[in-house]
Amino acid sequence: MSFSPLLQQLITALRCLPGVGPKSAQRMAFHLLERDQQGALTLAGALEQAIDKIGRCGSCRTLSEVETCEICASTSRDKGMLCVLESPVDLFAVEQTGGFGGYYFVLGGHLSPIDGIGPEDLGIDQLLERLRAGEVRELILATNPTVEGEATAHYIAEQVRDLDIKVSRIAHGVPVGGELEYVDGGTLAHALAGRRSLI
Amino acid sequence: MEYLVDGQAAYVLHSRPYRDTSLLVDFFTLEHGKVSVVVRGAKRPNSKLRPVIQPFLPLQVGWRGRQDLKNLTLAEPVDANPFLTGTPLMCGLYLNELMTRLLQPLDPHPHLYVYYQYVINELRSGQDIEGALRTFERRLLIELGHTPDLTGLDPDGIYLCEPEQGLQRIAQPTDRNRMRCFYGRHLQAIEQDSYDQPVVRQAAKRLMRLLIDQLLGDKPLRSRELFQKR
Repeated sequence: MSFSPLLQQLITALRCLPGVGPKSAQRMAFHLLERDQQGALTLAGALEQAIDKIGRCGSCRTLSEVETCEICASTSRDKGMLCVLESPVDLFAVEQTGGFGGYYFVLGGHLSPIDGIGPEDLGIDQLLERLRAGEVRELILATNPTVEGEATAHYIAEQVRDLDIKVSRIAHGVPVGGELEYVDGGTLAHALAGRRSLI
Repeated sequence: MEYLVDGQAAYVLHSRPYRDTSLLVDFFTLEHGKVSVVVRGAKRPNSKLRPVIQPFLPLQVGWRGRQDLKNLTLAEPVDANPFLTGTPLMCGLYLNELMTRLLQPLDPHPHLYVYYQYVINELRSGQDIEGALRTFERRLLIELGHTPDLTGLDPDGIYLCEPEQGLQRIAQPTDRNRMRCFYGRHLQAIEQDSYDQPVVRQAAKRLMRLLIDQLLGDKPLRSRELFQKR
């Protein structure tokens, strides 16, 4: 049995979401049509507005519906600290810890030559321009601890070598509450290589 | 092609997201050359495979499947090495891009595998990276059948390397072909993988780049951008 064209179209559209296969898309479509039409309209409106209005912050490149996002517009933060991240999700993760009081810069990915992603795709020129303005004292490279993330961090560090800025990389090691026994060899090797003296 | 392959020495060349939680990984393996394998669940937050499926780590892998796309059955690190960092890491990315671009799937190159292992170990120890890179590039070109014959040259002769034509002895380089001309003695040193002298290194870099660029066609390598200052 095949669905009516509009229903089929809805099911296909829902499948663009991550983790949604044909069966879940079908369930969602029937739920919206049969049980929650109001919810469906709200969802449609919210989607349309979000796509229409949310763009990139001109200063840190995170998702924002205003020209300068709330964090960049804030004056109570430390202008001397800039944290470089791969994606807006990472920004929210760091922001939720509440432990960082500086500003952010979102690259929107990492360098990956095989996939054809180069420095110009990540707004690195914009980042360098901001660093050359001279307000930033410390640049924290918080790209992911993957090979590409590491390469991105190294590339940025090389570019700012001549500027008088302290460049640091986030630490990686054993998770909080973790047990060494269960930590994979690579992470453990990292944790040992990046050890700190206590006294 | 076998249905099941087990305990194959391999390195990850590249991985990209596949479906929601899986990765599609290109391995360079000892006996099967470049193989694309689906690693199910590797993108899940607590996947045990995530730290294992990393480039530049020597692995033992197994897979099953007759079609082009295989499924991973096993992946274990041979030993725990920290990542490459800094310039060696950039060189590693260059190597992997080169291999991804130039090798055909399921075309075995066991000799090249040994050379790959050698160059990765050199990158890790950081002793003679440039020499190791040139040695590897030459081996790759030999495996692909794209290197001119470097034997029986006159040490004092000047040779012009032209696309598709191999080496030709010429009397004097001109301004136009100067970048494609090489001294016989430098080519002899390259033939013996002996890169002690800086002039030989420079000549080798120029020669390899020339030959590699011929193979790549009009799409240049992106990883070379990583070595440039903005």
